[in-house]
Amino acid sequence: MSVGIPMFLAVSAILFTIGLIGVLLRRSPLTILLSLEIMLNSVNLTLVAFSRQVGGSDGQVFALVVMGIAAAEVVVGLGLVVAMTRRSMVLDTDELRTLNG
Amino acid sequence: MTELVWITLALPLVGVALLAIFGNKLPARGAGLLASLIMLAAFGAATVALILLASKPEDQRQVTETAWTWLSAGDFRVGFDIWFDQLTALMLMVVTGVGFLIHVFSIGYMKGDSQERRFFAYMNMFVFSMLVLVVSGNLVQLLIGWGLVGLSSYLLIGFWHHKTSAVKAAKKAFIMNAIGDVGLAVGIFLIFVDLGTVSYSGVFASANTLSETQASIACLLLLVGALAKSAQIPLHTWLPDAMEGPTPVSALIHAATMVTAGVYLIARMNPLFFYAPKVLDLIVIIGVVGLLMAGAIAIVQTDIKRIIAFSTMSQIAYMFVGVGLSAYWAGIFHLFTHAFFKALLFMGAGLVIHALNGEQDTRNMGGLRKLMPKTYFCFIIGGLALTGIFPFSGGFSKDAILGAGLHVDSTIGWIAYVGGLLGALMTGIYTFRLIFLVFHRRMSPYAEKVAPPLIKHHGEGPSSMLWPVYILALGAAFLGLLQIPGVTHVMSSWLEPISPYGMVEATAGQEWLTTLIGSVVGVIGIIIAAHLYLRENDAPERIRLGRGRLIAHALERRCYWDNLYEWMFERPTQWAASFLNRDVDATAFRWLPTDGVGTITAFFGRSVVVMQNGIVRSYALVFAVGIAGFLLYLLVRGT
Repeated sequence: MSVGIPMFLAVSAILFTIGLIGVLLRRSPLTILLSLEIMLNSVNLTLVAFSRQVGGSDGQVFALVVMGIAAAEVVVGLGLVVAMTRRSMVLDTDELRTLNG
Repeated sequence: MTELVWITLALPLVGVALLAIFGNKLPARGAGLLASLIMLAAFGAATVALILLASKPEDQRQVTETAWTWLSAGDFRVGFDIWFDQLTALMLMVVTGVGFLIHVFSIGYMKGDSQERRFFAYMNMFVFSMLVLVVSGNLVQLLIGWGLVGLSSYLLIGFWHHKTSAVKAAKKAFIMNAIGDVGLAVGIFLIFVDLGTVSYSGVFASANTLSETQASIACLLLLVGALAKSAQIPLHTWLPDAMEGPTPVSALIHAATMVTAGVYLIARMNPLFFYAPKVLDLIVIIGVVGLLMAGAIAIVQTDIKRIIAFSTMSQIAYMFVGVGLSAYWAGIFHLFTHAFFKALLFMGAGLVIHALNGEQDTRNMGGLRKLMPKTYFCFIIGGLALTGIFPFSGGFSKDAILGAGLHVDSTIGWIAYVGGLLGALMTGIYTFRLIFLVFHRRMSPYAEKVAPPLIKHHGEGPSSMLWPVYILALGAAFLGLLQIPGVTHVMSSWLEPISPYGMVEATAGQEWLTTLIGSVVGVIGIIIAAHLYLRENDAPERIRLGRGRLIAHALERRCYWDNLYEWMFERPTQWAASFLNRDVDATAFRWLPTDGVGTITAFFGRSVVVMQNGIVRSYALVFAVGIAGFLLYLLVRGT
């Protein structure tokens, strides 16, 4: 049984929305990072799906690049979370607002 | 042989690097010693290279080599090249040889200055820049050397950066030179557009395809560069101000590096200038006007270094006359001898300034002959060479230029000849006025107070300052013998191959005639100077306030060039600025309360600042909504 491209796109859109809502509503940095990962991977899904439809491998290579960048981003993000925990700061993004105008 | 040229080029750069990196670890004296040794090694390498070049058969005395290529596109190629021929070899000798002596002199002169290492690093860099310029095998590299020379001169003129006047002089030199750099750069672009190449060999080979107009425009632009670097009218105003730097710097600028670059450029590009005869005539006229004007100004100056500075401008103008008459060898010969006697005079002035504890005003000198007999003797030799009295070196080289004017026998040739002889008269007057003011007459109260104890304590100067002066005095006295008309012809036959179209060379008879007239005119100048300045009398002051007051005023204001530039550029800028400030700002914005612009800006700022609430989630929301809105717009608009 073959699944058409609309199915992939639908799953991807759902995943992306879940991730976005997570980023917007949750206040814990860890959860926000998780949600970000979901968003990135939904995009990866789209890339791979289109790549399969077109027949080239460009999209798959792109997906690999995205994974690499996502890994790097998580390293920085988790590092920040660890550093914040060590200084016993509140892990709540709404409390971290020293950058307000 | 080419390796030696590379070594000559690299050594000063190594010196800069060593002084810059390890300078702080060296003792203060060590910096000067290191820099001087490096110059000596460079001079040795250059000498051996010259000997090797001379031992080759004459048709093989032009070597090129490329270290690496910077950029290439199709047939176009620019690399780091050396072009080693008779002219380059001679320039290398002058730059490294005279440069070495100036470095040694600086050890004594700069002793006790807290910034000795920086000074010697700059000095080595100056020499390196000039070497890049003269060994270059293409115009782009020449331009790089050209710019580096400008930068080094800026650093050294402004070396005493705690003095406002020094900083101003450095800026002035840099800006005037930048104007020249632009001219040179545009000239190079034009040559590239016309000929498709910037290498000397390519340009020389295809110069004959240019129309006279094309060649003239290109040469005019190159000339702008040469005028600025060589301090000729109308871009000369930086040179007298450049005396703000330490005296060895003046010697280096005037004798070995920098001001000779313009003459070198014209001599080097002579196959191109050959196709622009009108530009060559223009060079002669600029030279004649310049040598007369600078000579006249030098007569009324009171600062010992300024007098010598204007004499440099005058002598460089002679070289311009020489190359403009297509007597390239004569121009370069004068460059060669001038390097010696001008370095000699500057170092002599340095000894005097040193003995007077930094005083440069000739009115505070006088009567130093008995206290400084060695300096006096060397100064006399330098003065006679500068005046061009037979048989001192300057005489032979200057007369070679004037003889070429006689030989050409055209209107331009006669202008050069008569103007040059008139200039020789002035040279005699200002040179010996300087000598009489400094070494003869009664000692001024200042000198009487300062000089005797200093000289009793130190002598005329440390041996590191005296020996370079002696060696230069030997050169200034005897180097003219390389080219005795009709007897020896080392210079003319050595430099003859650099011009494929032949050079102008006067016959022995014409040269001897010129030498005779030139020496007589020079002696007349000395007699006039003796009459006016040897003893205290009121004759000069009477002339200054009496019949010659208009001329004296013009000369004391340096023929108003600085005022001209002030009125042309500085004043209009200030007027525009004060107009905008006083009228536009005050009327157009008068309806605003005090500080109105600031208040309005702050108001708008505060109304936007609420968006920056610091909550990351809200930023993300704005971001997401924005993107969603944009996508929606694309969707609605359809395809």
